[in-house]
Amino acid sequence: MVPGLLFFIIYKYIPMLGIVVAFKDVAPFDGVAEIISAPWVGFRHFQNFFSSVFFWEVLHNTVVISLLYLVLGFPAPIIFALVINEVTHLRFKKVIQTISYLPHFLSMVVVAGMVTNLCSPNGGLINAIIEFFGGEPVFFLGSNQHIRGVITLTAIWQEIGWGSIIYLAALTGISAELYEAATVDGAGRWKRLIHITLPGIMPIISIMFILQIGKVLDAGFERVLLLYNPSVYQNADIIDTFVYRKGINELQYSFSTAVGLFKSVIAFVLITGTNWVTKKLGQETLW
Amino acid sequence: MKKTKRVLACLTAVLLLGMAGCGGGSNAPSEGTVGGGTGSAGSGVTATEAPSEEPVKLIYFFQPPANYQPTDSAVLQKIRARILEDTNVDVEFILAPIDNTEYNNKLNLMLAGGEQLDIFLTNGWEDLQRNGVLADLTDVLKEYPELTDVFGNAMEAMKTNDNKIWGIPRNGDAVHYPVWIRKDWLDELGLEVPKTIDEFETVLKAFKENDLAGNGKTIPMLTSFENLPHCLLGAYTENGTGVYTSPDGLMMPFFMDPGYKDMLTELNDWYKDGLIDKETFIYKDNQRIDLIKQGRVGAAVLWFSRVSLNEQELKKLVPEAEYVIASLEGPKGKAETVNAYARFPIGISTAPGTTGYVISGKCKDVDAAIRVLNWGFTNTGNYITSRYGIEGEGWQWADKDAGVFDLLVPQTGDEYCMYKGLVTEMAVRESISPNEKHVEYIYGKEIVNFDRAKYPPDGGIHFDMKTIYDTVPNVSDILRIYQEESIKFITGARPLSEYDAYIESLKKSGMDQLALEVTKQVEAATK
Amino acid sequence: MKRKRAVSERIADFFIYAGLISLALIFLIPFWMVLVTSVVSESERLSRGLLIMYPRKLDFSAYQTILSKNSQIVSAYGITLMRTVVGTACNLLVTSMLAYGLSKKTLPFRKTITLGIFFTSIFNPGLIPAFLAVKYTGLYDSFGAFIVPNLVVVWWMLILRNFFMQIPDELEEAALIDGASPVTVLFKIILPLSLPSLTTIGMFYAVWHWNSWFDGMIYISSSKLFPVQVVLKNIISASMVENLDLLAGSVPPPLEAVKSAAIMVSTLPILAVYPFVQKYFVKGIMVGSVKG
Repeated sequence: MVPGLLFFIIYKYIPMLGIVVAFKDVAPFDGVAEIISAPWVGFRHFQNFFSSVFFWEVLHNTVVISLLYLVLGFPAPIIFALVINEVTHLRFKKVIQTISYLPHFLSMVVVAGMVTNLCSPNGGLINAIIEFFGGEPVFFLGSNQHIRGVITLTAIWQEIGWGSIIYLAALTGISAELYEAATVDGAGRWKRLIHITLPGIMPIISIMFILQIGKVLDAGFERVLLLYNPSVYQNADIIDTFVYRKGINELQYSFSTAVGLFKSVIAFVLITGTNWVTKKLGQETLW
Repeated sequence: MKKTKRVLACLTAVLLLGMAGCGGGSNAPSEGTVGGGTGSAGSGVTATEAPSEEPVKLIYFFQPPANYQPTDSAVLQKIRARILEDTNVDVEFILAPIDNTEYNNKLNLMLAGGEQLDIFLTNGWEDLQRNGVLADLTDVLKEYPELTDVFGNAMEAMKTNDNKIWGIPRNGDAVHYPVWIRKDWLDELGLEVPKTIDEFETVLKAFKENDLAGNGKTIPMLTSFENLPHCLLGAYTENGTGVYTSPDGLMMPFFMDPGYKDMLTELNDWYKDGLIDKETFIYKDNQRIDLIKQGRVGAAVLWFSRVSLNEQELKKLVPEAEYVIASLEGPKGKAETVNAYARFPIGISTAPGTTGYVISGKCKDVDAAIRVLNWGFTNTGNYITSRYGIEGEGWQWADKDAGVFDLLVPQTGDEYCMYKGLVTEMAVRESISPNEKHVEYIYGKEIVNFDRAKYPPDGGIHFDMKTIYDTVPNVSDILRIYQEESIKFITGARPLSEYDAYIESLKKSGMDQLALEVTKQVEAATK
Repeated sequence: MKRKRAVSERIADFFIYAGLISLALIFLIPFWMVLVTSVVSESERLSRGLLIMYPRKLDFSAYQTILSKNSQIVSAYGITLMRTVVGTACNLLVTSMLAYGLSKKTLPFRKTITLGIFFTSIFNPGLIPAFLAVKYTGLYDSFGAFIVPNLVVVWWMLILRNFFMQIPDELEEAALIDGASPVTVLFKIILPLSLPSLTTIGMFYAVWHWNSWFDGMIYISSSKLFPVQVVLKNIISASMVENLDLLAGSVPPPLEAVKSAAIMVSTLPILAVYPFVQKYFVKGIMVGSVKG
C-alpha cells in the first residue's frame, strides 16, 4: 500500500497548498516565490463571484443540466448493459459492444460539429425529418428551450456505450447457478431480472451513483462550451463556462481557483450526504 | 509469480527511463530538432572567422501555424547554423501548442516553473510586463536603430506610458474588417459595388431574390457577432468601435453610443427579411469558412482572412468567383473602424497591439536576443531564410527590389521564423502564392489603407486593465449582457422597445464606474 | 441445454435485437461519416454538402499528410504505445495494492485514509501547483511524467476496492491458515478472482493513457516525447475557437479531411484492442472456488 500512499502525499496533498491562490491575487504565470509574496485578498474573489448578476442563473443552469443527466443519463448505461446481457449470440454481442464505444472516442470538437450540422434549421437532418412530416423547422441550438435537451442527449449518446462497461463487468460476476436455480423454480425473464440481476449489480450502481452526484457542479464543460452560444447563455451558461470567459478576458487565475474551491466544497458536502443516505438504505458506500 | 517479475521489470524500466529522461531535459543541445538529429552547433558551419566567444544559447517558444508540417531536419540545421554564424547565437526552439488557449496555458506554466524561455510571442504583453516577467528593451534597442526604424510608429504599441519599450510588435494599426462582396454576382445582376449602407441593402435583397447559389442556398450576408461592429458600426456612430464620449464628457465602451441602437434596428430589419443567415451568430469559424468555400455567401462581413485565405479553394468550385471590398458609408460616415494597435479592449476581441515578440526578464543575454530579432527583421533575405532555408536551396530572388521570391520547396514549418508580422509580410511575397488574395491584401498594402475606415479616438492609448478589473469586478457581466442582448435584439428575440431596460441592466452591473475609470485613464494619457 | 422459448420471450428477443441494431446504427453512422470525410478531397466535400455517406472518389492525401515521413507521428505512436503498456501496468499494480489494503476491514485508520484519499479527488488546486509538483520532483520533460503524476485514479481504486470486498473472507482465511503471506494471497487468489474488474479498470487506464494529451502538453517540452494525441490535437483543434486568430499568423486551417484522418489514426488502434480483452470477462469464475 505504501507506494500508493506516497503518491498521494507528493502529488496531491502538497499541491493542495496551492489552494491559497484562491485567497490571494495571483497571475497565471507566477511561480512559487511570487505566489508566496502575492497580496492576500481574503474572500474577495468569492464575493466577486457571488455578486455577479448571473451567479444564480449560472448555478441554476449547472444544477439543472447535471440533474437532467442524472435522471436520464445515469440509468441509460445500466439499461443498455442489461439489454446486452440478454443477448445470447456471442458475436452479435461483441460487435454491438465495440460499436457502442465509438461515440466515446470521438473528440468533442467533432461531435459538436456534427450536432450543429444535424440540428441546423437550414438543411439539417433532424429538421428535414420534421419538415417531411409537415412541421416547422426548429432552431435547436439557438433556442433556450431546446438547448439543454441537446446537451443532455449528446452527453447520453457519447457515454452510454462506454458507461455500460463497468456494469457488464459486474454482471459477469453474478453466478450462473443462481439463474439456473431461478429458472427451475419457474421464474421468467422479467422476474430473473428483478430478483437476481439487479440486486447483483446494486453495489456498483450505488457507488457510481454517489460518484455521479459529486459531479453535479461540473455539467460537462467542454461539451457546453462547444455547443453553446450567446443566444442560449440564459439556459446553458454553466459555472465553468462563466469562469472560462472571465479567465480569457481578465487573466483571472485566482478567481478561477476560488470558484473551483467553491465547487469542491459543495461536491464534498453532496457526496458525504449521499453516502450517508445510501448507508442508511443498506447499500454499498464509499466508506 | 511470472506476472510479478514482469511487473517489477517494468517498474525498473520506468525508473531508469525516468532518470534518463530527467537528464535529457529541454536544455540538451541535441534536442529541439524534429526527429532528434545529431545536430550540434558545429555541423555545417564554415565560419569565415572563428567566433571569438562562446555562442549564446537561447530558447524560442515556437507556436506552429495552423497547418503545421514539421520542416525537414536537415534544413532546420542549416537555418540554425546560419543564425549562429551571423549572430553568434545558438537558437533552439520548443514546440508549443497551436491552439491559443493551450499556448497561453503552457506559456504561463513554463514561466511559473522557471523554465528557460528567452524569446516568445504573446498576445498580452501588458500583463506580463506589469508582473515583472519581461525584459526592458529600451536601452538595448538604442544599439539597433535599424530595427526600431523598420517599425516606425508601430513601436509605440510595445511602449508603456513611461516610454520604455518591452517588445517587438507584430502589428501596427491596420484595417482588418472589410465588407467582402461577390463581384461575379454583382456583375451577373448588373449592379455596382455598393458605396452606402442603403445600396448595400439593395444588393443584399437582389442576392436573395436571384438566388445565385442555387437551390435556395444563397446566404446574402454572413457575419459574426465579434466582427460585426468593426465592419459596420462606424456608419451609425461617431467613433465606430472607439470609445464613446457622452454629452457630459464621460467615456465608455462603444456600445453605449445611442447610434448603436440604430445599427441594431437596421440589422433586425435585415434579419427579419432573411438577408442575414439565421444561424450566423451560432456558427463556429470553420463552418463560416466552409460556407464561403462552397460559394454560398454573397457578402462576408468578417475578419479579412476568412475570405482572403479561402477564395482560392472557392475558385476550384466556381472559377469565376471573386470577392471585392465594398467601402461603405452611412449617416455618420465610414462604416469600418481601424484596428488601432492599442485601444480600449472591452467589447473588442482582438486588439492587435498587444501581440508581439518579447524577451523574458530572466534571459541571460538580452543583447543576444535582440541581435537575433534584428537579423531577421532588418534583412528581408534573412527573413525568408528563416522560413525556407538557405538562399538558392529553398528559395531565390525573382525580383529583389520588389521583394518577390520564388519558393523552391514545399511549405515548411516556420520553426525559426521569429519575424512574423506586418512589417515583414508587407515587404516580401512569394511569386506564386496558394493564397493570392491574402498576399494581395497584405503585401499589396490594402491592410494599411486607412482611407477606408475611421480611426478610434482611444487609438494609441495603453489602458491599465488591472485597475479596471479591480474597480469594476463584474466587467464580464457587462460583456455578457452586451453580447446576449444585442444578439436578441438583432434576431428579434427581444423587442427593441426594451432597449432602455437593457441599458439600465448594463448600468446595474457597473457601467457607471467603468465609465469613470476609462475617462480617468484617457485623460491621464492624453495630458 | 435447450429450453422451449415462450412466444413472449421470442417477441422480447425481437425487440431487443431491433433496438440494439438501431442504437448501433446511431453510434456507427457519425463515426462512419468521419471516416468517409477522411478519404475525400476538399472539393468533393464542398460540392456535396459537407455530410457525406460514401466517397465518390477515394483521396488519401489527408493520410499522406499526416503520416508523411517528416511528421512526428511514428515516434509519437511509439511513445503512446510504451506509456500505455508500461503505464497501465504500473497503474494496476499500485491501484490494486492500495485497493486491497483498503478493503481489509482490519486496517487501522481505514476510514480516515479512505476519506483522505477521496478528499484529493474533490479538491483540485489547479494547474500550477500540479505542474510545480512535477517539476520539483524532477519529472518534468521525462517519460516518468506520463506515469507518476496520475498513478492512481481515486474512483477506479474505490471501485476495485469494492470488488475486493465482495470476495468472501473464508477464501483468504483458508489460504492464510495454510501459511500463505498477505502478498501471496493478493497475487495468487484475489487478483485472479477479480479478473473481470481488473481488466475493466485496466482498460480504463489504458484508454486514458492512449487518449491523454493534456499531461503530454503541459509536462513535456521535447518533441521526441510527445504522445500521439498531442500531435493530433494540434491538427484538430486549430480552428475550433471562435475568432481568436492565431498569434502565429493567419494561414488556412487544416482541411476537414486532415482533421478526420487524424481522428481515425488516433482512435482505431485502441478500438481494435477491445475484442482481445473481452476474453477475460469470464462468467462464473466465482462459483467453484468457495465450495472447494
